[in-house]
Amino acid sequence: MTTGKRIVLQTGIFLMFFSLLSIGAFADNGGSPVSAVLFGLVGALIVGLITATVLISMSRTKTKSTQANHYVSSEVTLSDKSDKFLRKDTHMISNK
Amino acid sequence: MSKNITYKCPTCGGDLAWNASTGSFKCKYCEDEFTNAQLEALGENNIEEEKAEKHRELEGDKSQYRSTDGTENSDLVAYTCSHCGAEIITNRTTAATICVYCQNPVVMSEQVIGDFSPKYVIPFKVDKSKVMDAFKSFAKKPLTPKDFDPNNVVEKMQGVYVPFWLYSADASGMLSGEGTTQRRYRNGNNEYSETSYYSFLRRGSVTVDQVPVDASKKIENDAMDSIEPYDYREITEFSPSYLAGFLAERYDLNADECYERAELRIKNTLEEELKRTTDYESVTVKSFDADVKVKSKDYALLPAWLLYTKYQDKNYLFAMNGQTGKFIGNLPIDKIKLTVFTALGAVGGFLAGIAGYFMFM
Repeated sequence: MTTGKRIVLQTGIFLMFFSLLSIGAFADNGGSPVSAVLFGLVGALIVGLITATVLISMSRTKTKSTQANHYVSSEVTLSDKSDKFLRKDTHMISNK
Repeated sequence: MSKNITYKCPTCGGDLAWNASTGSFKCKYCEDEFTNAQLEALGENNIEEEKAEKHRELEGDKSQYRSTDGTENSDLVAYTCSHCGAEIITNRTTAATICVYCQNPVVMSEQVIGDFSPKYVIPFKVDKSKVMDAFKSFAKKPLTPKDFDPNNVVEKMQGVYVPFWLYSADASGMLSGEGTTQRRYRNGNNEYSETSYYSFLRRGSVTVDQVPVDASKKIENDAMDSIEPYDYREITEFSPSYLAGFLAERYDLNADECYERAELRIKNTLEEELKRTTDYESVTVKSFDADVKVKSKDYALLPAWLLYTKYQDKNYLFAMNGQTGKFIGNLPIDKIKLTVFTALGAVGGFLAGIAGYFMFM
């Protein structure tokens, strides 16, 4: 198993354990435990993964180059350009 | 008589080597310094092709030989050090080395003439004494294991002139796709999000100059990609004297074999540049066609410091741009530290999630 997969698995087990403890704590206090813990779990997953990704990327700086941006010697010259309106979607996002 | 090239001090006859910190050639003995122009005026840089020493093939079972100069390869050949007469066993593509017996810088003349003659070189600017300090500060990362001590893990540190092909090209192409813009607005008590969709087409061209692609099979492509960019303002016409005191490789991948990597980078760059001419907030590419016309492909030697390290029986290669000092490499990761930091982040995220729930719900 690779380091990355192992860390994700360990984080998952840790989160399950932590969420079970939290559900118990909220249930005792008469809150709305399941929704709150779900919010917490989402937060934990996002922040945990971001933390791991940022830290690993600090240690791994060898990457394949797929761009040559440093070597562009002139601005892009356009010979043809067109933009055509297709459609518009509108959604209501709040009604306060 | 055929010979390899060594550079002698015009003052005392001692060996000259390139001094990265002063940008001149320095005598190991009398410490006098000379510019490349001064050496050229003295005729030191002329190589007579018919006098260039050819390598000798090793006899018998080649697996019994080991390189004497620390180069890594199984395809070894022999030269004779023109200073002390010792046999230098090195890999077939070595263009310059240091004799392990007399520490004399030796340039293999047959590797820098004819088809193998580079057009350009960027001389080393980062001195060897600064490489370890840079490695120590580079290794200070949150996940680096405590026992990864830069003073103990480095097995070999080499200043190497790496062969590169530099491609200059005009790229033209056509990009089409769908773009979106978004706006929010309020109508009475209601807030709306409006997304507008457009189809777009762009035809255009860009010019790229000297896109580098390393031309050595032995050196990791990713490592060489990662130490870019080099500052071409300091690129100069090749002279073999710049190699004195360093290892140098000649190319073993020709310009056609390396072109695919250059072409991919040039096409990707054209696509990015064409995308940038749209003002959309998001772009989905439907089709992209590009044509690259190569104007020139030049052979150049660019400087890099390579650090071969071993930690817990695993090999790690670190590289430093020998001109700009940019350091790269994949450090070992302490799994316990990673677990602890990730768990701390997860706890923080969990508490923030619960706090957010009670604040906003």
